[in-house]
Amino acid sequence: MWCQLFLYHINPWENRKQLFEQVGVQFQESNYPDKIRVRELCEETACLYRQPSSYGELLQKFGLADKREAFVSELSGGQKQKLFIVLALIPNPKVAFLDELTTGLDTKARRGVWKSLQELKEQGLTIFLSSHFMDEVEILCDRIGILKDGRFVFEGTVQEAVDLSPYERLEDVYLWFTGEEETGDE
Amino acid sequence: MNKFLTMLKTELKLSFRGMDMIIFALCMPVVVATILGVIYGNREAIPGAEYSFLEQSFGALSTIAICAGGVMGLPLLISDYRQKKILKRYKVTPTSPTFLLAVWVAIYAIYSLLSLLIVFGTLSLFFGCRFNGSFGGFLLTYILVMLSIFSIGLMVGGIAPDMKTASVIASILYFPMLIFSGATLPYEVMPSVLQKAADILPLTQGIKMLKAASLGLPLESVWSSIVIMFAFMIICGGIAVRFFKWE
Repeated sequence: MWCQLFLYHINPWENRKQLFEQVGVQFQESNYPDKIRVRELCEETACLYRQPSSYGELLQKFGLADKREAFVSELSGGQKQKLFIVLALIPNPKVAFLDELTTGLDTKARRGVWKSLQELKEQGLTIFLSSHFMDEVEILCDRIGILKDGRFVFEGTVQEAVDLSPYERLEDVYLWFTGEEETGDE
Repeated sequence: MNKFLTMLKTELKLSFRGMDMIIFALCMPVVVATILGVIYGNREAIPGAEYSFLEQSFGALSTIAICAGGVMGLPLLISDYRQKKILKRYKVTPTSPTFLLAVWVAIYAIYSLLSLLIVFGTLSLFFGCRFNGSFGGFLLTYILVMLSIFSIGLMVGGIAPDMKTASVIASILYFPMLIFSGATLPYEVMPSVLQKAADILPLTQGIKMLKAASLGLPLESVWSSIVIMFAFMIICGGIAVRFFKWE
């Protein structure tokens, strides 16, 4: 099946440069060169965009200002995740894609990242978040989509999802939608 | 600051921190030059020649860094970045493969030119070598040889599926070229059978051109080498850009 996808009326295959000026992406795995410092990684990212945000301010905002000269590899898990949010925000994007942002973080670091995301939302940034944690989804997301075998089986608000299913907790709702509720007994 | 210079500055710093190019592209040529200098001193290249054996070797020694950066450094850097998914991150930024490849080529070009200066300094200060060719002509030839050898490395890095494959291919290219093309072991002392075999290697052709340019011999004598070098540059460079893989 052929599908054509447009984001902000831009075809991502024909005009990828134009589109990626407006998009911020954070990947699940952290990917950066060995022996690179926080400031250098930010500089390299910022120089690729026409109108980047000030990474100094972003680092400040995410509590990483004192880590500017540290090696990225020396940061803690939570600090790294925050740095990757900073990198995703450097383009000054209209939309940010964040992939399993809080996997592997301790409770405190997770809460810190949530707070940052809430603030970004309030400023009007569109965020696509993928997550395995239903508590996170309930707190952060205005609209959710549930994927099964690569296709949406539900799209709407958390409340709508709960109403459609026989369950109350989003975790149970999720399992019900994906048809995996029984597998726990095997 | 300009985006090219910003990238170049940081990538160069990262490369310095890695140390391997400092050893293989900057130190090694000086070491080999010194060894040849100590062995051959002021001896004539062939009895009655107007230039010394060492002066004849300058062109070859200046390519050790080209070989290290082009067929070892470049492909390993690119495949390492692909394996670490750094290229995947660049894929979703408004940048192009050509831009990134240009930055990396610039890094190894800087190493090569630095090495050229150091080798030249060593030979002229400590071993009394004179440069008889035209500087401009030599530099142009040097850049042509550099770009064509680099394009081989770009192609390997651009299309090798993973770091392991890239490093195997790089080794297969690097060691024979380093030893048999005349870059370290002088071409003139090889038996003629080995010379014939060495002529297949692109770097051998490049070194012939550089020798002619540095000794002030007519470039007409090496026109076939020039054609071969251009062909390598265009074909391999073209393949590298056309078939570049982000991930």
